[in-house]
Amino acid sequence: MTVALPWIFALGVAVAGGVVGLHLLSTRRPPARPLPTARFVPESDLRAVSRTSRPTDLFLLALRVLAVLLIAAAFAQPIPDAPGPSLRRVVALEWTTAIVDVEAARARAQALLGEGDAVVVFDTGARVLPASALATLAAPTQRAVALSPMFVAARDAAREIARGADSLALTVVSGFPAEAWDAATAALRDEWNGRIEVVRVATTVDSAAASSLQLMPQDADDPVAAALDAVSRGGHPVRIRRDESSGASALSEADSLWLAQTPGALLLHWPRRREAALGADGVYASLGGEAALVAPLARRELGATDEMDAALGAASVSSMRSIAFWRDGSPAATERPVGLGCVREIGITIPERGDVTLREPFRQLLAVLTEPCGGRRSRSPSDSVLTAFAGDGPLVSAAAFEHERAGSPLTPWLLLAALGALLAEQWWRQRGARA
Amino acid sequence: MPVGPYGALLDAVRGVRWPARRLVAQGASGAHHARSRGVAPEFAEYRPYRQGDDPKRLDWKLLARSDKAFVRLAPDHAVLGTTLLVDASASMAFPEGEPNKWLQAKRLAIGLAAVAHGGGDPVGVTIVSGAGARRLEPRTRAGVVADIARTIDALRPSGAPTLADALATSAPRVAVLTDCLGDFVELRRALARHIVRGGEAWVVHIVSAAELEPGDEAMLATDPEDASQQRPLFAATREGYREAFAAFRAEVARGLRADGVQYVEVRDDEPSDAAVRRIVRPPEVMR
Repeated sequence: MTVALPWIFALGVAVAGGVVGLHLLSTRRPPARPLPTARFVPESDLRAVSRTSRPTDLFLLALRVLAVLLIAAAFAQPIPDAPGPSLRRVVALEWTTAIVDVEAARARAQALLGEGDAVVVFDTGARVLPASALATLAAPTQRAVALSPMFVAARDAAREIARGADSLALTVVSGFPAEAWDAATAALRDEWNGRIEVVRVATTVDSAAASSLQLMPQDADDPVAAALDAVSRGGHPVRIRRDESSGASALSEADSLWLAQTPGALLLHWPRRREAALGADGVYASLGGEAALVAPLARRELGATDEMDAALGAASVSSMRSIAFWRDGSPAATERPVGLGCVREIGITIPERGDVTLREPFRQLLAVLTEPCGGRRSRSPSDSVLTAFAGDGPLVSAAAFEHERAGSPLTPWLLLAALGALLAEQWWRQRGARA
Repeated sequence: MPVGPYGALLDAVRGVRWPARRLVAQGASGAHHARSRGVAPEFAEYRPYRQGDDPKRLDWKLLARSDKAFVRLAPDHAVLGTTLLVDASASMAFPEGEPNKWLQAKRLAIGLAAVAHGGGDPVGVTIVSGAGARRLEPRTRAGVVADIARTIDALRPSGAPTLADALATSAPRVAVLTDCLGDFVELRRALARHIVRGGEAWVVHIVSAAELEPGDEAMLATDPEDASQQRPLFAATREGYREAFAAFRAEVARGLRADGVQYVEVRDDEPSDAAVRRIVRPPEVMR
């Protein structure tokens, strides 16, 4: 049994002692009773009567002391010990398509789990799972990963398993790409005030360069064609569809087959609209790299349609994420996984004439839009960085997470018992007054 | 004769007699020995014949034997009027519930009235409370006991009245039913005067078991007749209280008996019929 706020219970004990002291030192006037022969009672000091009288309400005193102690115990938040080992573990497993051997990673995580431990699976989000659910976890669908959501979920898991434990261990099983760190990661790491165990697993690493770049249909007048020379090659295959149509109907059978057979295939669906009304606008994209473009542009509405559901499957549509935004925050480009690669819908209509596509901002935008599916994954930081990330020193104390719990499960029962003692005290006191 | 809840008591004291402690003055024929001598068949003494005596009272056999004329005398009997003086002060209503002193006083008064009435004596009652004195003159008629019962039941103890004044108009025999916590000194004087005038006096001192043993609870003992009289009663004073109260009762008994008063102490939890018998126990006739 641990007590979250022992000082409150100590204060309650002191108050109970005061109740006892007041009871014994009380100069309560004895009750007046009629006695016709009162004249024969020797005269004496009334205060002596109160001090030396035999206390006849010890039961009343006991009820009052009990009520005070129960209230103090309730607010002190006693937490009963849960059965299980004193060391509990949170195993955080990266669950992305970048992991070379997913099953081996799953087995590695299961080997680390013990009684009372918890599992966190994370990619760009994170969720806490029961340890038993790891065996039946579905295959990953996302490629990108982030450590910040993992830390948040790990704290949630720690609060659930901290009861009854002495210390908690966090074991992170991941490829630790450099992109997993963001601005919040360092602060979240500091909140986990203890050593972290790092288990590195093999993951694929992306080259920023495209292995092949196809523009379909080929058109020398296409303003995008002029900027393709600036896109690096040598990595993943990229196909850019510039048909003058929109919607999922542009996904041809050839494209579907290519996506299904080519690992890392990237299809940019970028319809060409010659007659679009252009206006000064701005777009920002972030996908491994970042780019922003302010130019006369037009917007093409993006979003799932019934045709897309039928063509790509509802699961693919549900995995869609925005990778570029207009200046008002509405999505300008989206990505969804299809087959072994992904499809990016580009809602940015560029001018047919002019030098927008020849400028550096557009070339940077094009480079970001042709990043690998899920964003670029680079190699892990150096060992020294990971060692610093893991930290040294003791594991985090479980008590730190127990205090974050919303109260003790015993508090309502203790308060109920205190209420019963107070009601009994009142009844007993009124009974004595009537006697 | 309707007497309410006192039927069992009256049945228990039926046949009990309350003989006089002294020779009574000659009067109506009754059950008590009179001071005078009469012509009853029962022999008491001889007296020389005097001129004017009824010749029928001469003992002719003695005359024949001794040649002297003597008149045969026999003891006379007379009635003895009885007044029951009942103390209905506030201190008599103790403790709450049963038994209590007032209930015992009522039962003793009715029991003694029945005994006196059964012996042919006129009996009456005077009840003194804070509301004044209620008096029933001594009578011998049938139903007097029921009248006394109704009169007593209609009153409630209250106040701190004086009993001594009521003695002036009492019958020759007076029985005072009291807890002796009122005007005891004046009462004792009045009883002494009553005895000097030739009367008989009884004092039935009624005490409560709760007064003898007030219990172990510490309390502020308060006199119901005098609210300013408050004394703390607790373990250290309890023994002193018992001793003082016992000494008071002993002094009351000694003083009254020295005055010629018949003194009996009765507890409120004592069976009333047994107490009545103890009160009226036949004494030696004093001449």
